[in-house]
Amino acid sequence: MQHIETAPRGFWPAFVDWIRPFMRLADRYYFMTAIIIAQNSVTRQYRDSFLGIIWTILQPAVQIVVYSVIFSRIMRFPIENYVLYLIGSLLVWQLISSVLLGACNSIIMQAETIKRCIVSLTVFPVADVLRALYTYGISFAVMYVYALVFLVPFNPMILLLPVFLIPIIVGLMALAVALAFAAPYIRDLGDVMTVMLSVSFWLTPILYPISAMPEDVRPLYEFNPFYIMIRPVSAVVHDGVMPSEYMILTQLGVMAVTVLVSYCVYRVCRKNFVYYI
Amino acid sequence: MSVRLAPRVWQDQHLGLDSRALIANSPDKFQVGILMSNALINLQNIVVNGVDTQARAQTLRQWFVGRKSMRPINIPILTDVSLVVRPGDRLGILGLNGSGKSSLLKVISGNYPIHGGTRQVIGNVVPLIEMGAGFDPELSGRRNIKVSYAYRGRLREYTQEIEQKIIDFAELGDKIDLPLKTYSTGMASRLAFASAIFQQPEILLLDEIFAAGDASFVEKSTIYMKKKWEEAAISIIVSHSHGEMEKLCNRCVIMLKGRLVADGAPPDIIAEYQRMAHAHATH
Repeated sequence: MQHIETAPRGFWPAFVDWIRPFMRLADRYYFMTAIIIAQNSVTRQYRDSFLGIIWTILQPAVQIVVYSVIFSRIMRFPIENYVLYLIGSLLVWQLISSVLLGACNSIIMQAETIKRCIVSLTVFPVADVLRALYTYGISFAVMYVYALVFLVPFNPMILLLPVFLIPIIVGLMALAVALAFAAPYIRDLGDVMTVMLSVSFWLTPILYPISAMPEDVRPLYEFNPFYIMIRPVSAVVHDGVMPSEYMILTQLGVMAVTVLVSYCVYRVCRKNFVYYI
Repeated sequence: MSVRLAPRVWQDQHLGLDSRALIANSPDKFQVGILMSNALINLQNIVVNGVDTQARAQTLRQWFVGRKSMRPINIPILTDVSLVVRPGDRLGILGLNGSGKSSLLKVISGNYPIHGGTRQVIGNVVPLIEMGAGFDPELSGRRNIKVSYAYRGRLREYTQEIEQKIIDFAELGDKIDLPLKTYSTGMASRLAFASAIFQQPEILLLDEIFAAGDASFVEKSTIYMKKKWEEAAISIIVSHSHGEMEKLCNRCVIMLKGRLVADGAPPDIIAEYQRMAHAHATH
């Protein structure tokens, strides 16, 4: 094991240095560490509560019931199987928002541990994503089984759900790392994120379908990255159709931009990071 | 042996050190195997600055209202530190509180990134700087062993046998599956010690001789620690106990306000440090 810290000279050494953090992702121990951290945080949260893991399902379930009563019975949205629509969009939104909110604190909260440990610090935000994904998986499975039993017939398109979740997961991991590493420099990031997410929640077609908006407003949604990310998932879960090529390509495009920008933020922030936490 | 040593001596003279003197001063159990190791710590003109985050936030707020900041943002931690440590060196770092001793260890272990100079560390570094980092009181002792391996980036070495060895060494028995919060302080630190030491260091970093628990465990852990200390190619300790240092080390340095001010044989350096500490106390 040799470690020399000097700036790489020449194009290829600089390029190799630039992509080296990505090579770490091929290390299986990196993900094992992230999984261990994620497991710990799940255990820690539910260990002593009476209902334990059931809370993971109960919380989104109650939310979906409340929203479905308000929006389909009282507001009367013109949409079939509104509950299924919420299962498609609301659960993904909760996955995204919980990761983005948690990421700002994921390293600051564990400052004392992090100052002493030697493992790559990116495992902490990545572990947050895995943990949120676990919550998503359980609540989605339970809600979807519920929908199958009471509401809709099985649609094989649902099997494609993991495929369209991958860009979301990859984008989230990158963004979580960037936020976690930027947050010590900009302590206000957590507050900014809270405000931004609560606004985005209503600016994104999560509770309402895009078809409920006036025709002339709809093109503006093409600038909403959350909408672009959620759109193919919603198509698979609710509409039960293959997303169009346009939907898939835009989703991958948003993912690519997110990864690139996040990586640049990470490169800038990681150097003096320890001194700010 | 002399053939192997010749270039090394030349190099050391080049760097202002004389390894022949170091070998002459070395403890009796000095092993030839250590000399064959290619472990090396080469720090040149290291600069490390801390950041006063509060002052920094204040600066931004004051910038909005057009005033200038009162406090500096950068806090110098290490200034122009150059240090070469070679196989066979048993280095003791002396210094008053806040002089940058622990920071120097963290630079060697890679926890602290540097702001200036070059850092070259070859060899498997085992920092026993703060044991029990990342221990979670809610999790079981067994789980915490795994967590501590994960946090140190050593999951590769984690096996059932290692786990059993750790449990046996810490003398925890059945209690290993209880949450850490139910342990006594002594039990917890025994576990922390045991889960940190089953490694094969080429470069061993110690922050004070660690001893916890009852008398028999203190003796057991001290014996084990000294064995590790002898086995490693390079061993470095930060301590305030001069007696220990004189016994353990064959080279000592003094840190003062983030600078390395003296380097040499333990008796001279310890005497020098005592003069310095005395001057500081009566000042």
